[in-house]
Amino acid sequence: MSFRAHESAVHAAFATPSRRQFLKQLGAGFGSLGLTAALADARLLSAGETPAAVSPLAPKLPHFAPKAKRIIQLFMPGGPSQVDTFDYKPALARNAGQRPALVDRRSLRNTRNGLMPSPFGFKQYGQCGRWVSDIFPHVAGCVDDICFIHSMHTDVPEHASAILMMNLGHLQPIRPSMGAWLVYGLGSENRNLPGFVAMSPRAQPRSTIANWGNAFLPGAYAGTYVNIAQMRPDAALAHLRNSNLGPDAQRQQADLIARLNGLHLQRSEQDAQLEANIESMEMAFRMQAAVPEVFDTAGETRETLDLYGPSEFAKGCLLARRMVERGVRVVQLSHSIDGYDIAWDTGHENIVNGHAVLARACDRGIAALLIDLKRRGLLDDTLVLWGGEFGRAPTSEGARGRDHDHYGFTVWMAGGGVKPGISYGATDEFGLSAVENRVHVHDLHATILHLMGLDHERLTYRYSGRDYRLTDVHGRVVQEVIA
Amino acid sequence: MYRYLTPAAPAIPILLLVVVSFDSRLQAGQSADALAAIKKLGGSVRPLRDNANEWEVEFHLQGRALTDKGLASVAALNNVVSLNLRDTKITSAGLLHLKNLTTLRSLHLERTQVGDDGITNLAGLVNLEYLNLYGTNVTDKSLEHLTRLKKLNRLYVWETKVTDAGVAKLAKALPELRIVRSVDLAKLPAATVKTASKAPVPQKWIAASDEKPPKSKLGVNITVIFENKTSIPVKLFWISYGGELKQYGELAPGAMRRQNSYSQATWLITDGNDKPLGYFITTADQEALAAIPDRKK
Repeated sequence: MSFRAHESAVHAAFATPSRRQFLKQLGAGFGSLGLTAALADARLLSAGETPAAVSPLAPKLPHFAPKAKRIIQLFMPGGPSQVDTFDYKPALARNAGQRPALVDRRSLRNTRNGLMPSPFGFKQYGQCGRWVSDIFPHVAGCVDDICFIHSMHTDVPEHASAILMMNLGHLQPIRPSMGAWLVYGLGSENRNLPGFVAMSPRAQPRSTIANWGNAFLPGAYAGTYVNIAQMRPDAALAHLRNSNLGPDAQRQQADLIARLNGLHLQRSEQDAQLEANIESMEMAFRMQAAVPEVFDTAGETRETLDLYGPSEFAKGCLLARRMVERGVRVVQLSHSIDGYDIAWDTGHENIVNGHAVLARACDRGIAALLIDLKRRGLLDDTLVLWGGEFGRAPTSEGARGRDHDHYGFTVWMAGGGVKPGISYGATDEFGLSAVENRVHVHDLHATILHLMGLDHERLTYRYSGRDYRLTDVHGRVVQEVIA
Repeated sequence: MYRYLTPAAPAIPILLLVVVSFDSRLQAGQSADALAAIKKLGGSVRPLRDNANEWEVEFHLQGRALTDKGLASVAALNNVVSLNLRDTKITSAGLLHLKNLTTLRSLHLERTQVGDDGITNLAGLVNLEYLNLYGTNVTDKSLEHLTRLKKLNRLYVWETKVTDAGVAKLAKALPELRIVRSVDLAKLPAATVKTASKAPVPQKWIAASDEKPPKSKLGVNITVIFENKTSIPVKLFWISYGGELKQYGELAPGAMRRQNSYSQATWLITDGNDKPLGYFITTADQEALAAIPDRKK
């Protein structure tokens, strides 16, 4: 028996409906099977709804018209120092070595050596006249497109927990990541690529998989991790290619399995888990063609490649643009220049060496990303978020370094419906604590969800007897930064 | 071995009926034929949000094979506010179908073959706020057709034949409009710094010899602007305080690069095979110009 004949014979066998099934299709089936199939077809599900028998990654409707359709998170694990990057504090130079009451916060580990001025120069840039450190000269050129939040604060000055807070909204690795929530809420635009991709050159950020994990959300919403130090797509996504079967044979195989599963599915009352399996098999097949295309930057012009420059982080920035261009909903690109999983923590001993080297490795790529998104008309509906899990104290630890500071730090956003060229909130005159228009990480999350068209109080998932949210019982949408 | 199988019963057609009826109920007011045609072409039709009668139509992800003919189905829809045709095979002729889509607020035509002839059809889309024409064949002529679109606030014309003069003229007619072309990254920081900065100070080029270049010494923060005046790609190395070579990338022939550095730093320049050509020792000027000379001259 040929493959085709075999297939149709099997199909015929499974297609024979029982009397019960037949009635179900005519009666009750209208409400469940018919509707979900139609919904899947028309891609008309609301945020967070995933009825059985619909691909969990099918696009869903946001709660309200979104300003941003996609997000690129440039994550700076380890804690970039605000007063050496984007939060200019001239008062530090005038009070060097002193220890005013404002900075004498006992709960911070190390403020004993008094205030330390930034070793870097600051200049004003753009029409908005924002002050930026000399270690970010290229990002400085983009300040008119950037919305700075200088009044961020978080719960603890310890890396692992604070990183989780920034990416999960929780201090322990038992909750879904923000990216997983977003894909759960909105689905994926491109059926050939994952909805959420996490990348880094070399080291993964501390707590690794939790930063792009799905926790109790269905597995389809987890991020796919790519190590961009190895740029060959085959190396980057291991086991993607089927070494035994060619594309045609695989297509036939996938079709047959899908059909068998589909028929089984009808019988097993739309088993959501089975549907997820079909989806993941289908996606794995389609990704074999789509993923190498995303990673192959040979089609980019010389001018574009020069714009990004040669650093590894810049390659990640270029890939991020190519991904959002192709409908990937969430890209998380974490910075690292060696095996250290909290790259920006190099500021403890010597802020000059630590921060200048890190900034140099990412500055140009970040600016290139903003410029490239802008000139292609993608920045309007792509939100870019830059920041670490906390900042660093304006006091010195030893002689030339700075210790952690969770009382105040800076993040910035660009594009995606935020006001360009503004700064919101402020730290005290020395830059240690957020004092004006304070923004907690939960507030940042609520704002990001809002920009993506989701109400953070309505995007819930029932697990273990209660409804969970990314923002738990917290979160205020910072309307003041929304255009 | 499959002898026990029975012939297929008509379960599938019944299912299809159900699908169509729910489709039409949920996509109220939209032509079922047009929806089916768009779906077949790989396009998608979705409301902008929950419970909205505003529709977003996209072909740029899975529907890039779309040609002019397929646009007739889009014209048959109501209340389309956003249409994305990026990377499709449409041409100027196809834009005739968009002529009456006056509800459009956002239109993506980037990286298609459309040109000035097609853009005339957009002159009546008075609700248009966003228009992306980057990578198309448009010229200044197209910009003239846009002057009636008073709500237009963003226009993208990077990689087109649009000129400074054409942009200036349109900007005068539509003062609220942001027109985005490209941005030269290399020029950015210098061009936008508000504080007065002096012209970069030329650095002395020391050609490679048997004598080893010195290690860098601690200095003040400066910016070095490297300029490759040779006809070959060169590599930039910083010689660290300990005497190790640290590479800072390559510079194509004729290219310039702004580099954060410190005074008294040694920058070694090599060819593509790491053969030293010469080096600079930076001075304590805020901006240093390190021009790598062409050996032939």
